[in-house]
Amino acid sequence: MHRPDNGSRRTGGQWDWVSQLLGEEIWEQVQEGVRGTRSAAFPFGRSEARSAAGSAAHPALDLYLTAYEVVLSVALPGLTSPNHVVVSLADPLTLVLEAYLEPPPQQAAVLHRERQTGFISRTISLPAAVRAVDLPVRYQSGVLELRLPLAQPGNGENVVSLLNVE
Amino acid sequence: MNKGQRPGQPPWQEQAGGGPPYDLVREGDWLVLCIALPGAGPGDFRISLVGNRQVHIDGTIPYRHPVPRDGLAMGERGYGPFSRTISLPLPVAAAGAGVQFDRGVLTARLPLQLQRLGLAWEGMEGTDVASSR
Repeated sequence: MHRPDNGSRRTGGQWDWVSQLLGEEIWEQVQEGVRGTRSAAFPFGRSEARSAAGSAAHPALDLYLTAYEVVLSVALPGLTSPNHVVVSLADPLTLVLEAYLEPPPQQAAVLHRERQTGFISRTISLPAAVRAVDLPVRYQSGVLELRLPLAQPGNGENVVSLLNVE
Repeated sequence: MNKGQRPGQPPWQEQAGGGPPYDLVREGDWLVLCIALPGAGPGDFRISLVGNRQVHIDGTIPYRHPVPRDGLAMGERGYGPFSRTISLPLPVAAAGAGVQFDRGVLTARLPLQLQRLGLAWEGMEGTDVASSR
């Protein structure tokens, strides 16, 4: 029998009525359902930032500030069309990235699956406010690079500038 | 840098398989192996067939941002050396195998090494086997 936890039973026995009503097997089914949710491979439907491997956010990204821009470098291997990426601003500090990565062809028999495919959606909190303008985008080697102009360029305290040594 | 992520180590090293994620599908007489290597160039890795049941890949994902890693406001992508050995469920042949690298995905098409056996049907319910020969 797998009940939610022993503490709950001790404090009020509030789970016992569930067992009486639905039978003891309900706890096994509940736990099986929880296990299935955790171990499910990336579904074809929409997914939030969570990978098949567990806790890592997906898609993985790097973010840094320059004097004028916030630069995002997003790992999206296998992107097949520019139409498969949508970038939106919820507010000057919140970016929403949505993408579609082609899954394996349906006529193929899948023997092993780890790559993240299908619809991906991730909400990203930006370290500085940006302006809503058309973005220069570059996609190379499976990495999408977005450059978002700062709303107030040049005064960010977090800017890291690499200085050349002469 | 994300909390919990060790600097310099690709996040996939923490996964069960310990390497870049891959898909393996069977398309007819071929096994198709797709390995995600975002950020790598064609010269950054090697892939080899070990015997007829294992594929080994190793290489390095180079760090190319103009700022040092400590300067990233968020750093989730994996960089540095990696390697992975993938056991195949069926034997394949090196002859005729093809490898492509495109858009951060390495695709290896490996011909299956299967000897197909003839089936001498003596009967099948609902079907006249003799006339279908």
